[in-house]
Amino acid sequence: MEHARSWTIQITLLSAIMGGLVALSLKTQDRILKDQLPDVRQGRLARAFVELREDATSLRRQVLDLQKRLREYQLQTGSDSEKSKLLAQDLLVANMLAGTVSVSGPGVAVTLRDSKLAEKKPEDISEADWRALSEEYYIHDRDIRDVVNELRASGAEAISVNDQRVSGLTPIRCVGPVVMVNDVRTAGSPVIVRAIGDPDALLSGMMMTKGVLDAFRDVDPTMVSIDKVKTQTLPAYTGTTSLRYAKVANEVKANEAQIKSENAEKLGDKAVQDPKSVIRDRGQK
Amino acid sequence: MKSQIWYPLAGVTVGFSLVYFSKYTLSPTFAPYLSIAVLAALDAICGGIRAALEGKFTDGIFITGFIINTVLAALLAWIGDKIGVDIVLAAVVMLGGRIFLNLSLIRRLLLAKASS
Repeated sequence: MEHARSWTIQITLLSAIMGGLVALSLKTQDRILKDQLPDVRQGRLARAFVELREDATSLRRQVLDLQKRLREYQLQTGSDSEKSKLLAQDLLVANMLAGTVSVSGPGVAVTLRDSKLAEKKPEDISEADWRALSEEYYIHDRDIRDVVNELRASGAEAISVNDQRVSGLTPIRCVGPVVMVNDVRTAGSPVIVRAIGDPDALLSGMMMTKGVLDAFRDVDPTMVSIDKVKTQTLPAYTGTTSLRYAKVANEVKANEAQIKSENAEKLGDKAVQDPKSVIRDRGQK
Repeated sequence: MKSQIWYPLAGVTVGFSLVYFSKYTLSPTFAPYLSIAVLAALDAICGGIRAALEGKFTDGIFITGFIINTVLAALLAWIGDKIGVDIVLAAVVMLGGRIFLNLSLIRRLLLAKASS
């Protein structure tokens, strides 16, 4: 009987320990789950996102207002004397170049849209294969960048993509189904690129054989349309304009850089004369 | 004999509720070791009951069996974690298999006792 009591006690004790361990394990697993899932509900996140976006829009509007006010002040001080008038004009030109002023003028509007052929998936092709094959039916960020680049090469003085002004600091990239321009999400199709400049020069740049849009014409001509515009207005760039790292270089360094940039042309000449040079432009491939 | 069967069950309940309703939790790092310890305890309990039913229960073997098994399994889990191989699975399979084996033996012994 003594023996019997001994094993009952021991097993009961160990059972209690095991019960405790199971409870601890349960609580730990609970904690792991809680750590993995953020405490915020998706709905709340979505609402916060919408609110933040509205905030961003109103802040951008504020930037625009402040820029306008600033220009007015500059013009006012400019009217004081001949010298400051010249300065103010220079400043305005610099602002136009930088894209921080809304500008109007003649030019072209290039519309890029996804091909309708992309929707007609042949039945005997697997989903993955079709995704690869239908790549060329969609507009990609590189196409938009190519168009912007070509417009610049053709003498565009101001460019906007989906009504977002393209400044010297503007990234253009695709994130999922949208095109991010100046970190603003805009429609992925159609993408409208507007440029101000000589309409004929811009148009011929776009229509160039073997040019950026030629590939589209082979795939599906309806993906591209180019219209000459008598007058159009591009919005101002409202992104960040504060410089944290770049400083005006001192005179000696500036001269050195200038000499380097002049030498760059000589290196180019050398490359042209070199018989072993590779042909780099797309048109000659 | 019949009343004695209830003691371990009561023990499980008491231990469980004591810890569950306390504020105490472990850091998630220890979660795998904890589950191994649970398995080792379950194995020791089944083995103990079986031995008791067979009349072969020895004090030392029961408690040392539980401790050594737990330590060894935790050690395996730790080493496996370091070298990227789930050695702990070996312990899980072994302990799990033993639990089932002991449970079936306990069932047979109890049935035999009931019919005799």
